[in-house]
Amino acid sequence: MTAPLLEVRSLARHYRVRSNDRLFSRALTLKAVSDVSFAIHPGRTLGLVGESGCGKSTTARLSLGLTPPTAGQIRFDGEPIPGRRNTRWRDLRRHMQMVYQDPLSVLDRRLPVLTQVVEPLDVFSVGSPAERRERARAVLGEVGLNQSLWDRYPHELSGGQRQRVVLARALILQPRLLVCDEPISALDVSIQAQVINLLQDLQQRHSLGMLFISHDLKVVRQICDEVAVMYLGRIVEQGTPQELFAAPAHPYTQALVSAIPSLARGKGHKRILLQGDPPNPIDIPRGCAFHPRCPQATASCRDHTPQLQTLETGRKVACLRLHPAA
Amino acid sequence: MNTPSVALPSHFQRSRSSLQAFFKSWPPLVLLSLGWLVAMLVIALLAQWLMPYGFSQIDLRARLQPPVFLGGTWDHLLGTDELGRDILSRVISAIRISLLIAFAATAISTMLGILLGMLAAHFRGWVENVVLVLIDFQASMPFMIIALAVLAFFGNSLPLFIGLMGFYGWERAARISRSLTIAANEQGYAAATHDLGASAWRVYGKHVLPNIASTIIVNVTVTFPGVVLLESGLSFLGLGVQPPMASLGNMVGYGREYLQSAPWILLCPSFIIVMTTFSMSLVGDWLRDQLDPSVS
Amino acid sequence: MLRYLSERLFRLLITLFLVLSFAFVILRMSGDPALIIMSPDAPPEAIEAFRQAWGLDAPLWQQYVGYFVNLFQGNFGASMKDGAPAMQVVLERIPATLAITIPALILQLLIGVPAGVYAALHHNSRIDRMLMGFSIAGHTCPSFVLALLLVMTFSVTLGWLPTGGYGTFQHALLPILTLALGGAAVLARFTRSAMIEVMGQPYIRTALAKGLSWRQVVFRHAFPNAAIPTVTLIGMMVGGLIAGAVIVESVFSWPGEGRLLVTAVSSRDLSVVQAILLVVAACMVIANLIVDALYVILDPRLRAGNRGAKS
Repeated sequence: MTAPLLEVRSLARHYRVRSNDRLFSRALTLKAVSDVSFAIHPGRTLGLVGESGCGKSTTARLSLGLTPPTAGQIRFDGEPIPGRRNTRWRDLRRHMQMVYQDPLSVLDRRLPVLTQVVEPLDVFSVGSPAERRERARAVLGEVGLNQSLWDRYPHELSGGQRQRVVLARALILQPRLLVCDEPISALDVSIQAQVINLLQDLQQRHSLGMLFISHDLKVVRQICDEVAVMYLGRIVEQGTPQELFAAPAHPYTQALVSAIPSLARGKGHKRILLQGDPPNPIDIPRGCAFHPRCPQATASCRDHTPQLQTLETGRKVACLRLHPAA
Repeated sequence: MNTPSVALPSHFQRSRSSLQAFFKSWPPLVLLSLGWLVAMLVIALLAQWLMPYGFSQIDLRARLQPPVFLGGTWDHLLGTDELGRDILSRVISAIRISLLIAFAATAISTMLGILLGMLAAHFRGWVENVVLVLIDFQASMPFMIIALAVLAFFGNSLPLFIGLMGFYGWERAARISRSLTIAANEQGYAAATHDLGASAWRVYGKHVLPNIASTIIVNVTVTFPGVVLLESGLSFLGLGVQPPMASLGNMVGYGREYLQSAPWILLCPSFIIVMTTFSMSLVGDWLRDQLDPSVS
Repeated sequence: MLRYLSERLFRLLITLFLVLSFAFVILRMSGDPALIIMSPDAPPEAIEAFRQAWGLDAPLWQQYVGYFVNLFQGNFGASMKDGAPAMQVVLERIPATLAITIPALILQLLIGVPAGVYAALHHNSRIDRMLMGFSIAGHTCPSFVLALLLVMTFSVTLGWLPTGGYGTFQHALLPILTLALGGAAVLARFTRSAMIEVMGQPYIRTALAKGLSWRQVVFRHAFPNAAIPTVTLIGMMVGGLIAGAVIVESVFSWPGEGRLLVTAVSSRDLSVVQAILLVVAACMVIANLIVDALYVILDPRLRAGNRGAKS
């Protein structure tokens, strides 16, 4: 197996927050991400799924070094990523880029899209201005944006077209790692398929490693080589999408999978409904973070925090039922 | 089938509708206001060549003469004051001084506000808190009172006065630039550009500043008349621009004694003040309507 | 709700502290008050004696602490001209200023708010445009010009009212009117835009669909909601009245705080200026507190506290 492009180990990100806006309020800790480890290889895609607030976006930003971690290590090509935005950090931008959820808000309203695709080359002073425009045109062609749209402004394009612009801007420096934070959530369903195909195409052509974040399990199944399910800042299950969705091991994954609307399942299919309050990263339950809502919780789930362990099948699960605490 | 009535020649029709279209996007009142402001600017710039007399040229034989449209002579178009000084020349000179102060103060205030607002938005933390406290302080007291206190303690040489006026309204520009910069930074184009490796300078200079420029410009059209009113008020009280310099405000102040006998002494500068602030406010309102909803 | 108010009070007290420190700083930065007050050719012993009498020879931090100690003890220095206690001089004039500013405030509300509501209800009609034209004219016209125009019309030409002075209701009428008109203009514009925004809300359409008459909708739903942001304007209006009083009292020779401030500034009577600064700052703090309290009373979202407001 080739060396991993990106490797994170025991990554954590905690925030100090105030309980409210008043002058004298309690200081609390928001644990966005705790003890997350994974690896991404060139040409392969890792998916991160989970509900809002589970820490997916924070993990994405941590992977790119956009936010400094509270604990843990991030290595790109074996070298650690600096926590501060120094020269080395800037140099690494040429190898790793981000694709965002809402393309309209991440593009400057006032500049034509071609100018914005050129901008990364301006920042790193690559080639002459004429060469930069040439490169930008080539990349825009590669992502499939019609030539007549290159001088338009972002608000004059459709959602799918804007996302292509964002992709072009991310790809123009020829990065080797692409982190996609919910790249298709804001798009119409018909456009989503096109963008997914485009991403897969680009990945194949450039051997890109991808971290794909989404709350949509169907899309993840399509594009990812491996899927990790996150809950309250931890990975609770990880495996190939086919196996994971066919036979989820963790109770949370089981609930997620059972909720996917599907024509294949009969009318008698009972969805697993989770009880209890939605997860709050400020007030994480003791022991297993999922135990208040888990239909299969036992007494020991309140006292011991399960670790992510590998089963014989290659699946990784963090659940005390499958791995009683040592 | 109705036969159409006599049709106007096509070119005539075309020009009528394009004229209407023109006036729709440029209302006549706005055009007049812009014209007035341009005229004031021209007068201020060409003052030396436009003044028929020196602004402090005394001619005691021609005291208190009315303007030409009230029975006076063509020698003094707007009449003379109690020392025989030509009102027209004094008004022209006063326009120059008052506009100079207003432009300089507005520029200082806006730049100060943008700088502090952006610093607060960029650094957050204690820097932001300090800026917010300063904004609170500025907004808590009527600026006239603060200005008077400073004038009491420091006197009123012209550079000092302009500097003082430069503190008028900076808190509005600071509030605007701070909130817009914060919005741009949070998951916006500014954050994205910064994430791809651009330096903070580039992000603020090439992206944030051009995007907040339109709102700032509208704020300028609010600050400018405010400075004019403040300066003329202080000068009227004798605490602003000092003699022998003439400002629109102090001319009104001197003309007060002659309210009944020679009202033109104070009416001419008053008219200029009112027209200038009115025009700027009107243009500002129109600009705000143009830019909202935001058109790129 | 009490928490919210006490927090606001705390912030306002900080602002007050800053204003007082500001007064101290500019006082000390402005050069030697002794040289300012006494003539340049006074003998050095007299200047030194003056300095000692006013405590101007102690180190700076000591003066700063002493300054606040004096303030707490109620010692605001004496008018450098005649030696009368500065705060007494200032407090004497307060009733005169209140006599014109409070009626002006009421008049502003009585003119500005209905005008704004009316303009909003007849949005984009001729009346609306006319009212807004007057409103722009009102707040771009300097108060001294307005004052002089009123004097020219009502005193000189018509002879109905005196040109200035103090004593009777007729003397107060023009000052009150001058103060009121400028603020009413701003209030009208603000009320109009607040009303227009509220009237465009879905709950207004729902109220109309339920069968309520226009009058009921305006008075029960639209206006109370539009009043909430308008209340915050009152703080600004108080500031505007204080600033306006400075000019208006000077034009009409009305013996209030404004006129006192102007004469104190011209004669560099620094203790009086400082005392006035303090009084004005205290007024603004009180006005802002009242506005905050009104805000909490009117807006049920604040009454419930922050529960539910934050996610």
